[in-house]
Amino acid sequence: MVEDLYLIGYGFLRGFIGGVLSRFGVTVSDMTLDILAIVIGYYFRGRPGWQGVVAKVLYIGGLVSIGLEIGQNTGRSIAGELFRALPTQQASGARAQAIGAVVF
Amino acid sequence: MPRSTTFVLTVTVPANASVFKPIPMKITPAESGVSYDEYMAERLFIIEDAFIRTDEDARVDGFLKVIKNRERVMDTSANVKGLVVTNPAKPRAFSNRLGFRKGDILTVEFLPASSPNSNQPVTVFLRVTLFEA
Repeated sequence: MVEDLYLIGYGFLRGFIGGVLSRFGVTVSDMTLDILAIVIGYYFRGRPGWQGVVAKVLYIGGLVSIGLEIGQNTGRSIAGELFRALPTQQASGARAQAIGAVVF
Repeated sequence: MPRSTTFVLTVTVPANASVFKPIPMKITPAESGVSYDEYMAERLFIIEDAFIRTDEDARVDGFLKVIKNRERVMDTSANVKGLVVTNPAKPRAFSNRLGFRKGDILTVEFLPASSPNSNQPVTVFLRVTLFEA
């Protein structure tokens, strides 16, 4: 239950920061934010009171999130190796076929 | 008998517009010159392609989102900056020809891919085939 709250809190914080930055035209990759969160969280997690709670949220959430991203990227690149030719060939074939057709 | 005509799409991308936030375009059939936010098809028509005349027509990178009946995205175009009509290697704007039946509502949104420093007008032309009843 507590872990769920950590994850929700972290998701909210990261999304919020990403949203604020993108409004000003700054794009920061999710992984950069994760690494920042882990580093900041690691150093401040022992603090008393709300600071410690926020740091713990950042630390635990950041670890889960970065694991998720690394796993996703690894999975994607392995799948890309296995099915290298398939998707692009299919897409170009479908496109060539479709140019003559009308979609309603 | 089908005949070809042009629909003119215009929009002003405001300064510091949010990237990829859709902005509704005005649709002006070239023949009547009346402009619409939503164009209701008087007869069957097919959107064949989209183009710009020169680089001046689109100083902002962006994409067209063609929507039918306010709910269905028919297609998203290639980057309008690459659609200069005089370019012999001009790509097709859409991966299909997009058909609209009588009574269907056409709306087009512009998705800016970059955020301009000042207001930038964008004009894009749709090549349309009308089918007269």
